[in-house]
Amino acid sequence: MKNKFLFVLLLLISISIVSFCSTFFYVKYNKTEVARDDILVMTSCNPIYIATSNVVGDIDGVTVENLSQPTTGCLHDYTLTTEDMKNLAACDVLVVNGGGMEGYLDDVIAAYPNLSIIDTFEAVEDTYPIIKEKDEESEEDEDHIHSETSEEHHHDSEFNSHIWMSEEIFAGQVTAIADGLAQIDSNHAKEYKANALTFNDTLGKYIDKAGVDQLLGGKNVAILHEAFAYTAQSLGANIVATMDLDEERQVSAGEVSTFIDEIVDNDVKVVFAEYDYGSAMGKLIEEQTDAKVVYLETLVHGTYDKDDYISVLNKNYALISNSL
Amino acid sequence: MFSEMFSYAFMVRATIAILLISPLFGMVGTMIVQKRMAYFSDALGHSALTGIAAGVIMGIANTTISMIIFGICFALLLNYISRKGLSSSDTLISVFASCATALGLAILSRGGSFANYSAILVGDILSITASEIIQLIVLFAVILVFWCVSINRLTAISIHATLAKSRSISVRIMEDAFAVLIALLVMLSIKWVGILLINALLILPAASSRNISDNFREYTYLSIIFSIFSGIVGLFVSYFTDMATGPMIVIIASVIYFATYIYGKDR
Repeated sequence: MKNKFLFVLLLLISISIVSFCSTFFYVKYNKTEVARDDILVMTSCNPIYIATSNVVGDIDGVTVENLSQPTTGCLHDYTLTTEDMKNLAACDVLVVNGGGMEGYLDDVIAAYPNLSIIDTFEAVEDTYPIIKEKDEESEEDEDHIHSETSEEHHHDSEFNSHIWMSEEIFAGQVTAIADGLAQIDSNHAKEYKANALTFNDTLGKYIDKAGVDQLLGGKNVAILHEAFAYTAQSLGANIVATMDLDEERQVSAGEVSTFIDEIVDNDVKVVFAEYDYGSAMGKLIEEQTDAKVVYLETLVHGTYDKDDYISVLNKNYALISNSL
Repeated sequence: MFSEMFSYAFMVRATIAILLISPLFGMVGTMIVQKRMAYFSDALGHSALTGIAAGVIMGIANTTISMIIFGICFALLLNYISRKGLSSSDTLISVFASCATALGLAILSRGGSFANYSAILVGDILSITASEIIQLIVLFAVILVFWCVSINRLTAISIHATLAKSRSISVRIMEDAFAVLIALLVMLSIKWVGILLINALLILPAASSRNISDNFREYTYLSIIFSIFSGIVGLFVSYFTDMATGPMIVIIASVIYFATYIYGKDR
C-alpha cells in the first residue's frame, strides 16, 4: 500500500465498520427495554432496591430497576455508566439512600434538574435520633479513633449513612419510599402504602436476632466498618472502638495500635468486620487480643431477591451468635 | 440508532466535550511526543491529586482552581529544576510524580476519605454540565491562539534549542509557556478523562501520526484526525455496550497506533 492517506482512510473505515457491527450485534442480543407506558423507578443500591421492590410489589405498569448491577459495591466509588445515564433520563423517579452515600448524586441533580428523587436518609434522619447521636458522641471525644474515621467518610455527610443496617431505620426508609411514590404516582398510592405496611410487618416477624441482643446487650463491641455501628446499636451493644477499613485506604500503625488497646482495655469479646476488605486485619486483631472477629455482610451485594434483606440480617445475627 | 443516542442531553454534552477536548489532545500531543515529554504530562496528571488535596486543606470549594494553580506551579518548578541539569530529566520527573502522588494520596486518604475523590482516577465525561463545556470552549480558544502564534518557535526549539536561541527565540519563556499550556489542558480535562488515561489520550494519537508522517504538517493534522476519530467512535461504542467511555477511546486509539506502527515499519 503506497499511499498512506489511502491507508489512513481504509484504517478508519475498517475500525468504524468493526465497531458498528460489533456494537449492533451486542445491542441486538443484549437489549431489554421497559415499555414506555410503564412508570420506571430507579434505585441506587441493593438495600434500596429491595425496599422499593417490596413497596412496588406486583403493581402493574410500575418497573423497578437498580443502577448498574446489584453487585455494585459501596456507592462512594461508583461511576455512572452510559446505561445508567440512559435509565436516569428515562426514569420517572430515582430512589436513593442519601446521606452522602451516592457520590454521583450531585452530578445527577445537575444533569436532570427535573428528576424526582426520593432521599430516604433525609426522610428518616429526624425520626431516628440515633443517626445524629453517633456524631455528637464523636464530637465529644476528639481523641477517639471513631472521630478520625467516620466523619470524613462518605462525602459531605456528617453522619453514618449506612442506615439500612438498622432494621428499625430500614422500616422507616420503606415507609418513606412508599410515601414518596404515593405522591409521584397517586393512582397507586394505596397499594404502595399497603405493601410497605406488609413488608414492615414481615421484617418484624421474620428477622431473628437469635438471642444475640440478650447476650450482647450492654456489652462492649468494636467494629471494622462503620456500617456495623447500626448492627451493634440494634443489638444494644456499646461501640468502644471503630476503625473504618476501606479498599482504597491504608490504615496507619497508630490507628491499629490504638484500636487494639481499646479492645483490650474495654474487654471486647467480639469485633464486627466486613470480609470484602480482607481478613488480614481481623487475623491480626485475633492474634493480639482475646476478641473474636466476625465477618458480616453489609447488603451492598445482592441477587435482586426481595427476601435478601431478611436472609442477610438473619445470617449476620446467626454468625454473631455462633461466635459468642 | 444515532437519533436515540442524541435524544439524551448527556450524550449531546459528552459529544461536544469530546469534539472540544480531542483536537486539543491531538494538537498538543504532537509537541509532547516531539519534545519527548510523555513522562512530563503523565507526572502532571498524577499531580492533580495533590492539587485537589491542597484545595481541600485550604478550604477551596472548587478544587479545579487549586488543581490548575498547583499544576502550573508543578510544571514550572519541574522545568526550573530540569534546567539546572543536576539529574537526568526522567529521574527528576519520576521523583516529582511519585512525591506529588504520595502527598495527594496521604492528605486525601486521611480518615478514609480518599474514596470521595477516587472517581478522578477514571474520569466521567457523561456527567459534564453546560457550564463546564463553556470552560472547555475557553480552553479550546486559548490553546488554539497559542498554537497559531507559537507553533513555529516551538518546532524550532524541539528540533535544536541552541539554533532556536541563535534566532532570538526565547527558549526558556517558550518552554515555560508550553508547560503551563499542558498543565491547563491536563487539569481542565482530567475530571472527564481520568488520571489513569489522560496521558494515553495525549500520546497515542500523536505517536500514531508520527509512525506514518513525513512532515510536521501531516503529523499535526493526522494526530488531530486520529484523536477526534478515537473520541467519537469510543463514545459511540461505550454508549451502546455500556462500557466506560475513557477506556473505550483509549482502546480505539491503541488499535490505530498498532496499525500505523506496522504500516510505518514496512514503508
